[in-house]
Amino acid sequence: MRSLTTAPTTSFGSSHPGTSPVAAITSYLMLFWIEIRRSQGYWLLPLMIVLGIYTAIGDLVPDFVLWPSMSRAILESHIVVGALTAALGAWLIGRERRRRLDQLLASIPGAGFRRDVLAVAATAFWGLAGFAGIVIWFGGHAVLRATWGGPELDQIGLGITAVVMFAALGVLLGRVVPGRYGPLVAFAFVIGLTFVTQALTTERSDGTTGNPAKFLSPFGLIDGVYVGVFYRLRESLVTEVIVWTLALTVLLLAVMAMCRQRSLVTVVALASAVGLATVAATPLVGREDVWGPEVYAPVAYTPVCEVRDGFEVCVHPAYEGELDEVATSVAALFGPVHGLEGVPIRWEQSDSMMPFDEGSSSGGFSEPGNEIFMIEMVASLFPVEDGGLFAPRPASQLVIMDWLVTQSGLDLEPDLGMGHGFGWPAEALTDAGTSGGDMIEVDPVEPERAALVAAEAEIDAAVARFAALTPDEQQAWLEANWDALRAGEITLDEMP
Amino acid sequence: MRLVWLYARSRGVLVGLVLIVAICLGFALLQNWASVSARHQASVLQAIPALAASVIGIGAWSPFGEPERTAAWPLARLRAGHAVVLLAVTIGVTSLTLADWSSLVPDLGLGQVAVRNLVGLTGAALLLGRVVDARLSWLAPFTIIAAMAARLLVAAPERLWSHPWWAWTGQDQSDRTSWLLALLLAAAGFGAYLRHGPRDIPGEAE
Repeated sequence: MRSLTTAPTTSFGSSHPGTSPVAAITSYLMLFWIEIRRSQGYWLLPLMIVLGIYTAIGDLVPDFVLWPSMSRAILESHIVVGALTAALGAWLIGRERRRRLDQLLASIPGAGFRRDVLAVAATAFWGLAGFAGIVIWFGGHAVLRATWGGPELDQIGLGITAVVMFAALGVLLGRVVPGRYGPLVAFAFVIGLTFVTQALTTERSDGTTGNPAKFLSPFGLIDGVYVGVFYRLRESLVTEVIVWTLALTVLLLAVMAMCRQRSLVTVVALASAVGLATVAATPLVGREDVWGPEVYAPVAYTPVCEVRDGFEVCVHPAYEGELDEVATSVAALFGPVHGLEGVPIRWEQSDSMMPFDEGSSSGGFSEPGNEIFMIEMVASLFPVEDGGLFAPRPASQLVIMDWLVTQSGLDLEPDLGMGHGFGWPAEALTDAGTSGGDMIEVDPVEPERAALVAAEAEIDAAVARFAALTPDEQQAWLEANWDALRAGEITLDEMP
Repeated sequence: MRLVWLYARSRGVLVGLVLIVAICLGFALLQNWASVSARHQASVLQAIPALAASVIGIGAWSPFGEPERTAAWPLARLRAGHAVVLLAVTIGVTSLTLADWSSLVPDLGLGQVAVRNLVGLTGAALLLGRVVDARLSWLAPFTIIAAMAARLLVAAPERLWSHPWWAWTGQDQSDRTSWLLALLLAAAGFGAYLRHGPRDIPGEAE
């Protein structure tokens, strides 16, 4: 294992009189190769790839692979790859101290900083090798399965510059925090830095809060940013962040040079690097992180449509593979209420994540292939004023919604909550604020729990009674009571 | 007492304790910031023990090497005290951290899973420290949780706590094989460490 500890070399980049530049470069590259071979990067390579993929993917690879989400995952992986790269750098730069050669080597003029640069280069090499593995994994998924978009090379470029920057940071941390815990500290520092830059909040003059440092971390381009097929950022900050990370790398190298030797040259270099970093940071600091039409522009596309049993169903071309299933679901769900007021005969996929989407008179759903799209469609029959998808609504509406799902024969997860996941009956809630909204409240507070259990039994019984009617009786009741039902004026006792 | 204090200083015990507390504190803060999904919970039960085990494993490094073995006092006692104290502190701090999570995963024995993983991963770190280099012993727990992460990549959401035997850190508390593997790793790692100490790297400093 002794060979694991890189032996420092003092002769590289030698500038003896008469040495040709080619020979000097060749000498430098040979040392670079020795650094790569003698470092521990190959041990970290599988860890970088596996942990990077796991961190970035968040969940399983989606049924519909889109280039935007794969590009985002590639960029997101830089957090773990960067942290492990920094750990490697901290270990690598400790070689001189570990071999008790630091004092001896300090007596050799000029070579210290160049050895540091060599350590940064070797560290970055292994970090980039790990990042390349992740690019191949996500890119391979996208190449084979993506139904929309193309590779976003600028995000991959940002990942590369970020890994190089973290390599320099790790080497510097290894010098500042020498010792056995250096690699672990560097790893934790990079992870912590990422989260801290995202957690900083300050109060603006108008009373709202914001994070002035959000975009100083590459993670700021991932956190809370829309990824989908319907919108694109009007102005991407990727180029600005790339310039910032490069400037930061130069600054870290300048600090390293300063640590090695304090001279006029290093002072000027450090001052220049600080100036460069300040200029690079200027367009990123204090930038508004807003969510609205001024930031996102709709992406033009031609929807793919199908007419089924009097309903026209349209999806984004990326989801064309789900069109048949969606059309089947729409026809099965809304066949019994076709033609009634407020029941759309045209359903078009849109993105419910965008609150500034003005919508249209047609029905909407967001994510075919996920059962949430069916819940969205059924819930839209009885919109609740100022309420979200799962807002409390009259029990009579829940009965009809539940019946529509039951008669359709579609497989909708019944354990999501009351009424096949449509939220709680408003009558059973003493405090509507504790339940409903955009999320399903699965654990209502006492004493509402008992009331809800009782209400669930009543709803189930009402659904069973309604289902027992003949189709003609069901149709007649719905036509006679539809307006009152939508207005929330029908009680459970008034149901058949 | 002076011997114990000097032993602790030479192993960076105070720094290790600070790091262990910082790791748990970091994850406690993370819980408040991040939305906690089931997959996040599974990850935390890998990450906290792995990082803590890394600290314990790295702390085993001896700056003295072979000359230390000539000491009159048996080193095994000091090593045992060192490992047990760090392990006990880690278990205590981890339990406090995970107390906030227990309401999120009521069916899972968070404490038991964390302790099993911590003991097993610490054993792996100490074993690597004995065979290779204690300063690189963090690679062992990191590799084990990387294997677990690879498994989680393909695990269905309803099977986040049920995996093949090699992904033992991801099993729930009722899985006997995972306990057996953790105890075997712990026995091997602690046994090798108590008996022989970390691997000597002659001529190298911390």
